[in-house]
Amino acid sequence: MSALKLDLDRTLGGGSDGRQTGAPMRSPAPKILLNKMAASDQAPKVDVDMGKTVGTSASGSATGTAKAGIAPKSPKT
Amino acid sequence: MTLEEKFFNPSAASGSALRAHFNNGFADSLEYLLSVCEPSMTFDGDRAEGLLSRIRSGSRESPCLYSRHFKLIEALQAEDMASAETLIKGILAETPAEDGIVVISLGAQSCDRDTELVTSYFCEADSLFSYVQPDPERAAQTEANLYGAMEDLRGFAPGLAAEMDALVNTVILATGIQVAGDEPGEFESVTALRAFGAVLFNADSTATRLQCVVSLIHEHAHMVLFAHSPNEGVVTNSPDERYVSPLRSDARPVEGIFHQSFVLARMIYGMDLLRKSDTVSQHQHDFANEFIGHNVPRFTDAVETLHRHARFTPQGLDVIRSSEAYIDALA
Repeated sequence: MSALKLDLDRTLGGGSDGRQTGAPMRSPAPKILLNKMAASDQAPKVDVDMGKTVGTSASGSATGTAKAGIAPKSPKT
Repeated sequence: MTLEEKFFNPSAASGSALRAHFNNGFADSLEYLLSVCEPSMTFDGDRAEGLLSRIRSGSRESPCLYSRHFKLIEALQAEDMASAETLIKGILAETPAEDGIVVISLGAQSCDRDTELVTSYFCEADSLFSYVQPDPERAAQTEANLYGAMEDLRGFAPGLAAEMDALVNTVILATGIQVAGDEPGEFESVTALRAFGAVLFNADSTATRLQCVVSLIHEHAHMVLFAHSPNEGVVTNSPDERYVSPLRSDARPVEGIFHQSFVLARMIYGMDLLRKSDTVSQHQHDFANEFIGHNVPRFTDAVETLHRHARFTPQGLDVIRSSEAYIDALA
């Protein structure tokens, strides 16, 4: 047994599953949000490009990458 | 008091209450960590008592204090007691933060190692970006836009600005170097629980002063959620449980969908105040109208996804219901 065992439940953002929460929230550029808003006037409602860029909190995926995009690398929110 | 007034509408009072709530959870956590360390190292117990008491009084503390606390957790988990002892000394030496939001550049002469410590929490091991010192000229322009945006917010959204003053302490300007992914990525700004009080902002951004207003409201809204439920969280779903949100093409953790819903509602709130402001220009009015018109349906879609999949904590349920009440009243 480890000499020092932390009870993460008693720490800020800590969970009993041994994980600390608090992954960074990376946000897209608002200019892209507005550009895509304008584009969406003519586009179908479900649009990959738009979806990539209008998320309002970070996801670990890059913004403005269109089509193929960048797959999420971690469970960031 | 309506649900919106209690859990959604920003004010100086909500800012103080949120900071006090966050600080209480933080002080409990720090006190526990110090108790774990006490048998194996010496530190000034009176000073520790004084610091805990100050934090519990709702003091405005620097992001560095919060980040050092999380570094201490990491050191203790690694059983690196030498680093833990150094971190505790640094924690006990922290003084309260000054009032006001300051914009600084990462790596600049005025930026110290403490800022680099805070910035480390904006990067994850597998992050798309690492962050470095920005070009001074670009940073100067972005800094001017951010200070201008804060001034604008104080004018048309004083309650929101006051709440922001209570929770946001530092905006760190940086350039992002993409270190992963096959296609070019982009970021505007970042917040993190472990860098509470700090916002990382892309100094290479071409965001106008008005777009900086939107970004500040956005990042501050994340901070509000961190402060509202630092221990409980807003949902109990596992981070591995992912759903497609109507707002994005990639499947996301439920917590992320929650955050984006609340952030959207707060941005809509800010834009509604802007369009109703006496001093609003035609351009600002059109911008705000367009923003609201496009994003109210997106908020509604995101909240429907939440109601299908989220297991809300009581705190999370209060926030999402109050956000819905605000948007319903707006319509």
